[in-house]
Amino acid sequence: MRPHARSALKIEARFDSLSAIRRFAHEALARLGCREDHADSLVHALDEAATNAVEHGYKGTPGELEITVERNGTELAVRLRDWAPAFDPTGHPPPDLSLPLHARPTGGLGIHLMRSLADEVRYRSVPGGGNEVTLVKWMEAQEGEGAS
Amino acid sequence: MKTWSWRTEKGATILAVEGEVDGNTAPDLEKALLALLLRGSRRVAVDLGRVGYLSSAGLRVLVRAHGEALRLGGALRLFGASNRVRLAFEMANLDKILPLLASRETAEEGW
Repeated sequence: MRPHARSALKIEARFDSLSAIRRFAHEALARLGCREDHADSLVHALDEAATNAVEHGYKGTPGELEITVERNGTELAVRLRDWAPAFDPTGHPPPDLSLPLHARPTGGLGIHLMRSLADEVRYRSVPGGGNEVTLVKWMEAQEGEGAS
Repeated sequence: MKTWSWRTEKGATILAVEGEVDGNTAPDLEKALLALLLRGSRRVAVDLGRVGYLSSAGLRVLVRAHGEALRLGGALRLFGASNRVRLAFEMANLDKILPLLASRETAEEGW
């Protein structure tokens, strides 16, 4: 077991980068010994965060996303860094899921899914510009032993 | 992602979706659904059996198309969802409004 292992990807902030982002994160999590269902959840949460960064952060202007997948002991962290104006998804009000369909605002659903899929979502406004969203899953102590 | 559609003997239109529905491909799914509604299909059943991934962008498209179908006096139904896709629906609390039916046969009954 390698308790401290890290993979990183820098890619253009575009909707057509999303599938490469998901594939990269999935492979990196598998290498770290992440359980398949946990990897699916973290990758989905990352996709929602990256979609938000492209849509609401960069708003169609050119930019970059940096994805880091890291394991520290039993903590698996997927980090998304952008250089867009500050936006804190953890401060976004949760959507009212009890409202009838036509009365629901469509925004906020991605953030809600991101929070539901990860065990913890951390946000940091990066000094000098940009945002960093960290999506965390905690592994069981014996999980992933023997993973290279 | 790709889609294809056909009309069944029971008068429903099946839209089969294959691949990943994310922020990049969801607009194509929306176009396909709206094109069916504009061409006059009112009973549209979406086969999600080959969808490996569905993000909130895909959920929003299905919700919007459902609303549009209702407005036109029709309905949208979904069937064949994998556990992964089902989980996204449940987390968004959409499964109560846009139920995920088990099979095409169920989706074609009692419009």
